[in-house]
Amino acid sequence: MKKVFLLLFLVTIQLHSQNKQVLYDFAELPQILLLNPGAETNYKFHVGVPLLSGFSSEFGSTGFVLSDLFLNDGRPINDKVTEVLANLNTQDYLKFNSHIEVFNAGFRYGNDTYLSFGFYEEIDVICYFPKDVISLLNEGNAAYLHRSFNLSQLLFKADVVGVVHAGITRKVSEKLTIGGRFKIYSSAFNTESSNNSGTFTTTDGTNNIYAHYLNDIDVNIKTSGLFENNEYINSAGTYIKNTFFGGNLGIGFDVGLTYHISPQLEFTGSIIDFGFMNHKKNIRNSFVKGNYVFEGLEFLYDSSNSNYWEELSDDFKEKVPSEENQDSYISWRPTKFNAAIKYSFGEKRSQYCYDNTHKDIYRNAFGVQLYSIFRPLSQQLALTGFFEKSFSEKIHAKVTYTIDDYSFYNLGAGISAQIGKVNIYGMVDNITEFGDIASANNISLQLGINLIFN
Amino acid sequence: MNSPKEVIFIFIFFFIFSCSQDLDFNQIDDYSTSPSYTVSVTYFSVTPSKFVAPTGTFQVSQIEESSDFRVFETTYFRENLVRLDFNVEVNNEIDRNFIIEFELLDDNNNLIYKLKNLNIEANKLNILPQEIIDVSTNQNIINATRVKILVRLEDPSIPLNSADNRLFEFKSYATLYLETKL
Repeated sequence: MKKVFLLLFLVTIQLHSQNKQVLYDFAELPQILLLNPGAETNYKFHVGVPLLSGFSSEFGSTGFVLSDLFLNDGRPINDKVTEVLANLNTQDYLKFNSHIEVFNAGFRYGNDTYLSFGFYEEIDVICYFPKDVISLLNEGNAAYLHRSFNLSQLLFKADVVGVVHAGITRKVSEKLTIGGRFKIYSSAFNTESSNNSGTFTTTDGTNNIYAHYLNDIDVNIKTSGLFENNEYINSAGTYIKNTFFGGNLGIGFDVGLTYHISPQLEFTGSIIDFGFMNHKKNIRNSFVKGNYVFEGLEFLYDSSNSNYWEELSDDFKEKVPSEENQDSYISWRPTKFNAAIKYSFGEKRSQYCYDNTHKDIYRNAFGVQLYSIFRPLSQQLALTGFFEKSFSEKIHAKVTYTIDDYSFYNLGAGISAQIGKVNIYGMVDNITEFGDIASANNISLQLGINLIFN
Repeated sequence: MNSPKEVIFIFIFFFIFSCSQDLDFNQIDDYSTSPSYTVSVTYFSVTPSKFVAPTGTFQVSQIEESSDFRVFETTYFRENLVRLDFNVEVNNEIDRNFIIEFELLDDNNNLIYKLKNLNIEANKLNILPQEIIDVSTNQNIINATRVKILVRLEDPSIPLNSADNRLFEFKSYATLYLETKL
């Protein structure tokens, strides 16, 4: 048995969506407290197995899938890239998220309070497709005279962050449980570019055949943790070290609740990662701003021996100044919102509780969940319908159907099982794409192992 | 469903029974881009008075102007340029024939490349010559850092009227064709 467990956790690459719709409010797992600190649990204490209680990663894209580019079909890669670029729009994005739970534990304080705490590391990257910038680099401006290339499409954000957290879950009454979690973020690396503006256009000139226009250029790229003493930090160890109180710190909160509208009807909701980080160490920010019209060098034939190029260069620097600075800045965490309503029904089953009592649980439940994350360009939403079934006091299952940015038929499933004190859970997402994961916009798996003590 | 072995079997099932079509990520090595950039180069507009010496006493047969033009100092262009097209538009309202010489020079004014001379007829508008330069046979062209344009009267023995306001216009742009590999 030990070998099977070891094998499972060594060979399994775990992927899950940031929208952990299968995990949310499922089977009273300790990890649900990270999605809703007001979630109900029913044990005395828990300890997540270090590094294995919650390791996950996710790669998602809209507008194209991996097989569009890399299918081994003999077609030229250039043709495929051209097709993909033609189909992308500026709302499409590429994202990557990885989450490693270094440790996670919790214990009950009194009968109505559960305290939980831990430390996890997270990598979160989102990059919207700057279609015009890619076209300009990929094809140039010659084929697109009179077209404006829009620099406002430049929009990305990347974070490597360590999070120390401590939360409290309090049963206020038989109907209501509330919770909150305080987080201290340590940013090892951040880069972001947003709120950019400006266009580049080549069109008919007044004095020359063509004129190049830079209109309302205002582009910024901020970085922290990437440079130290004007040199790239290229040591992975330094980044890992900086995820634990490395200097660029921030704070955040999670809040959540569970409310029993009736014995069978339950509402849960949470706001996760409402917080920010203050970047003030190893900063390098770049800005460029201004307007410019270039029609070429005008030769005056006035015997002044002007260096027109130098004059142009000076004039450009004056009108479109670029600057680097080391000013501190604030970046906001991508705040998530969850809400769900669940109706339980069917045969009742008696469950042993932490306070040596028993409570009745229903074998079946169904409901809907809403998930939202605040991203730089717009809010991303997902709506999930779910069905839960308890096969016994120890074994629970959940299936979900989710509509989100990636698809209208995302089917997920999860199982949680308690074997003695050992709890293991497994979840899969986008099951319909398992036949060809290379053609999935987003696919996720998740496994974890905890020790739970009643 | 009640034994741990069955639960573990289900976990393994999910991970084993996922499939993927045959992907080849090495295809990215074959990816290349072929962007082309249109860049304005020079322009001028002169009247016959420019062909009169500053003292105003005699007519010169030619005028010339030069300047740095350091487009090829950009590594991206230097390493990937495969073709260069020069496009010119000339409007000659003056009743005299001209010859335009267009040269690309290095920092020491050594000739790197000379475009074919343009013979511009009197009173002729909308002249649109083009010259295409294959960089593989003119590899030195990426060392050009300056441009020089000389305008010469075809027959300087016939005097120009310096009070004449008719224009000789020259406009130009270049298209740089690149080929890049990742």
